[in-house]
Amino acid sequence: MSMTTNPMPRRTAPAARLQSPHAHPPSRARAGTTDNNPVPHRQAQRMRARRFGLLFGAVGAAALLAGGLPTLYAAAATVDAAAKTTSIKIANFAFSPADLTVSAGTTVTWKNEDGEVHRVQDDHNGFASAALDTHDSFSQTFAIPGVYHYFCSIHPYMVGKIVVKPAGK
Amino acid sequence: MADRDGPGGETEVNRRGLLKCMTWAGTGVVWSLSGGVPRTLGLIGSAAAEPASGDLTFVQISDSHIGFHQPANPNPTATLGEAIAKIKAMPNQPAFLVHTGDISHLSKAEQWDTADQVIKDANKQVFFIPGEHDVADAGNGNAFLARYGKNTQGRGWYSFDVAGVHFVALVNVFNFQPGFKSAGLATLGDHQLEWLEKDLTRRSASTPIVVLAHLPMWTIYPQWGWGTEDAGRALGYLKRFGSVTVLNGHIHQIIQKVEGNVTFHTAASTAYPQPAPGTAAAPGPMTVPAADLHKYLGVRTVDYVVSKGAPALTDSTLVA
Repeated sequence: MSMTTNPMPRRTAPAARLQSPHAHPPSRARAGTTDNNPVPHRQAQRMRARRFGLLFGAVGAAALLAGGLPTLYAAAATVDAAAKTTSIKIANFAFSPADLTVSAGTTVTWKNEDGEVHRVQDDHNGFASAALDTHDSFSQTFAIPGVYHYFCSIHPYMVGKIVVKPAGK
Repeated sequence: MADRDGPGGETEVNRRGLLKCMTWAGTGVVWSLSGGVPRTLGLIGSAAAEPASGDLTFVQISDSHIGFHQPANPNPTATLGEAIAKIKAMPNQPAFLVHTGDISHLSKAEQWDTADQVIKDANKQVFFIPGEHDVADAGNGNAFLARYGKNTQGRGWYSFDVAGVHFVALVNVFNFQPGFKSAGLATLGDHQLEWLEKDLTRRSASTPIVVLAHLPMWTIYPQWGWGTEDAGRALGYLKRFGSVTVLNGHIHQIIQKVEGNVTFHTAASTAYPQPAPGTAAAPGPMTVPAADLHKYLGVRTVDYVVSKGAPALTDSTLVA
């Protein structure tokens, strides 16, 4: 496995994540997910997110008090009342825009407009979509500032980057 | 030296030679090199093969993509059915079928159910390997392996022997590494390569070998990810054999290459074509006039006369 130096800053170094694509290492999922693609993968995302219950504890509790919302995903959306949304188009085997800068709390939606199936996956397994058929979409809320590198896990030369800046900047 | 051990005299080419082009007698396919990229020039007629009379005949089908529903082919179930009908009508019936992956479009049980139902009509044993579309479930391939992977090794690879020919079914659709860390190609992985080396060690150099894989085992067009990064290691283990035939799918078109005693053959899809390397902005389903679709789809017959080493390949379109 090649681990060439990436010029972009990363928030953390990945732990041992080399062998199995199935056993997710401690996930860096730091953001709420609103997956509007009703697939089983959602379950996996929930499980990963649960491991970070502590991280989200305060936020989740606040949300629960506020509206009795059952999931962490809703919680993240609730925290940033001025949540913004933006989208990335997938077409011709490319993400467009491939480089995107957003402020924390923004929900990014990938829309597959290609005739081919694609999958969006964070380099550190922080988030991953199910297989997106033509016209399917996948959304991810970025609560924590940082640089997120992602790729299509079945067409790995398709890559993209999201820079999340602190909210209000 | 494999080319001295090998029984396949007529397939020998200069081992150090660059890509060599040739027309297979009886294959019905002409291909050439252009700018370093092998291109299929087209099928010559269809299924005009002489009746096979070898020791072993089998048929390759690939990329049936059941569940695909775009204009490039609104009904891939029907075209898979036509491929099966073509096989059933062959005067010299194949011993079995191999499917080199992308059985389904989205790794859904109902898509595999449909494929199995259609393929069953051929009444043949079928050897499957997964394409990346078959391991796109939430469990990253567990659904395919539970269904098709019984008695396989690792993540679904295996080997078997028929009529003196050794078949190796490889899996190169797992663990894709992002393009900012790698060449963005497929990989076999150390675990599988170690297994392959051991598997081949026990075979004599005169054993004809057939390698099945989904993505190409040579780098056809890296800009589109059409290659396997560590295929060179596998080919190193195969070098000593006199006759090695590598069959794969994924690119939905026929491209062939000869290197030493190894011949590489990508297959047509039964569902839809993809553009020739570099001729479009991106790979993916290519919509052609409906009346022409069947010219781009096909099945491949592989006919062995073991004493002669290399098999004869016949690519037949689905044109009625």
